[in-house]
Amino acid sequence: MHGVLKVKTTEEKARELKVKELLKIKEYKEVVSKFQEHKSVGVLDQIGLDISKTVLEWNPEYYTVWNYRRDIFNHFDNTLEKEKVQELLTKEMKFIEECIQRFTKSYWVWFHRKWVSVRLEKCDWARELKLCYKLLDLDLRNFHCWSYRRFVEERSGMPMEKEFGYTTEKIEQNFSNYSAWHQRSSLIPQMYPQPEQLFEKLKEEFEWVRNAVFTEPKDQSCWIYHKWLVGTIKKIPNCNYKDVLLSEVDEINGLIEIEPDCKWPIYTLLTLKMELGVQDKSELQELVDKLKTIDRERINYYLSLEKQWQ
Amino acid sequence: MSDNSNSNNNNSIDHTKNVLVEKHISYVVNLDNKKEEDFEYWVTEHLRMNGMYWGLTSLYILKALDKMDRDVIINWVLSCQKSNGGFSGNVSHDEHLLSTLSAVQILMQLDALDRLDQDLVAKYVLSLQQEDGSFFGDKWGEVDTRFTYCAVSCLSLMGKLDLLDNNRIEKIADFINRCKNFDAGYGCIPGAESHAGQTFTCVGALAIINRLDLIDRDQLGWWLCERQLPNGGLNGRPEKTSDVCYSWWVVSALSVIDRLHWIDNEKLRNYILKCQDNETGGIADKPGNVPDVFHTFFGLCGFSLMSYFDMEEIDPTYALGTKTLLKYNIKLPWNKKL
Ligand SMILES: [Zn+2]
Repeated sequence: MHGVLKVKTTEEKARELKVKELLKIKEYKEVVSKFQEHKSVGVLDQIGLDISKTVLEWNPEYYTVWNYRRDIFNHFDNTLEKEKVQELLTKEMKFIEECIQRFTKSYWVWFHRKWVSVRLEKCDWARELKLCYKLLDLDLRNFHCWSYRRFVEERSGMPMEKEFGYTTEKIEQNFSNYSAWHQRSSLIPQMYPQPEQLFEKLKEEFEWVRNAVFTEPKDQSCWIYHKWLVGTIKKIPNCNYKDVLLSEVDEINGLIEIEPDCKWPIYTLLTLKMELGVQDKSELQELVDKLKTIDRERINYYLSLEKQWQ
Repeated sequence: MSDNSNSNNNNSIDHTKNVLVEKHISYVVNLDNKKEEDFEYWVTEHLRMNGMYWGLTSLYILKALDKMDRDVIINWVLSCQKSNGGFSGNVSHDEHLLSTLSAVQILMQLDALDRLDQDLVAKYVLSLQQEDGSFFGDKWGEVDTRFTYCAVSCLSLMGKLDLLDNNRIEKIADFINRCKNFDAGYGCIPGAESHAGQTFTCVGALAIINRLDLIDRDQLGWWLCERQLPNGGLNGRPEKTSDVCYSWWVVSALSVIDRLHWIDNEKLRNYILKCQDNETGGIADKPGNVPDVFHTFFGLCGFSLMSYFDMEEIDPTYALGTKTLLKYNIKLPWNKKL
């Protein structure tokens, strides 16, 4: 159970709630036993679809019921006209959509949607994408929905540039949207397979992420992305990445002047200097000493870091 | 800290400083008695095999395994095995790798692995491996690194990892590697965002197949230690709130890669303590929330992995008692105490 607050209630209220709870249990158990009875007969039919639907409306986590529905659809494939099956699958997509909007984090429901969508002769991928837009507006970090989104893109052949634009939009709405930063990091290397192109793009990204880190310097999302940019650009063969990192050092020094006690610019500056191989180790030591005082929880991490030059 | 100022009344033990051992034991032992009046019990019926494992292993950590009726549990577990070898989450439900691993873990914890047709279980597990090294969770074809972990753990616990030849092991390692992200964490499938839970399953699976060399320990350790928040608790992804279950997912992964000291153990201990329910026993996801067996187990695991309160030691890879595993001659190279 997640996020269920324990509330103190009066005895009277507790009794009332208990009556309600008992009634709910009774109803649910009836629905389930009806389903189990029908399933045990072994007939895969429309009645099975109807009865199992009721169970799932109560409890979409009951994975065996989704399995049963798939058994029915597979059976229909061999026994019903193609058009009829397609019609039922379309209806199923509607039903799942209702379920998903009520239970946005059920692995089983999302999987079932994938299963049905690839069996549709003409899945309306644009509509699927719309559903993702809608759900990710409600919960920007829902990783089930992000996964489904990637699945839809792959199936529909959506251009990567469009998805890249979406991550820009989501990040500009909220710099803390780490899911969008993640998505961006996996798109860029695919979009720019040539080293020179990638180098230019990453340079652009350094500029772009700067806006985020200056606006929300305490937000780790953009800093982790920044760290990734550093790690990626230095791996590009025959490029002058050190110049890029040097200009980052200047920028971040500027930020530290404004935010002297914020850990993230200090940490990033430290890793940049390590990357650039600064000669004067006291520069590194000064930074790590500061981190040890403002970020006490991770002191042992910093102690292990300083061993690299001590 | 002791509570000698008010030692008579059990209710007044300060749960922010003490672990409520007796209360947690009675909480777990009485879980089934709630069924007549708890709707939640009924809608989680399909999870009973996992729930049994969480409860039983909680009691193991609390050194109270004898409080459960061993024979009843063993018989119930065995009654959930299907003819193809897989186990279901409950008697009239379908088989799945998630419940299959729990079943094997329970039987092992109860020293009853010999009651099991292990070849049949192994056959089921192997039937779910795919060409690309991933595993289906069941015959319906969902792919997730959770299932990879379930599969290799299950085989390894039964001493049957050698059913996977080098080529297959290579593919498994390769698939896990494809799930690694820009931040050194791991996701459910290639392309999916890093998540601490998924990171545990990937690190655990790599540990079992002896491929921890694929992990950059410092990079991953850093991402994991950044899960700790100012309140001492851990989150599962950047910019999310803390939750007790990450006391397992994050702490176990940190233990395996030998970076547990990179988080503030004491602060995390205090956070878990605050999530204890002082009335009913049990541990909740966050302070003040309703407890459940899942978070009770993971909270206790946190204490055990950080060696607080003299709890029984749990292994960070197999999520079973170290003593239990040693009895079965399972190698635990990541355990520095051995
Ligand atoms: Zn949790």
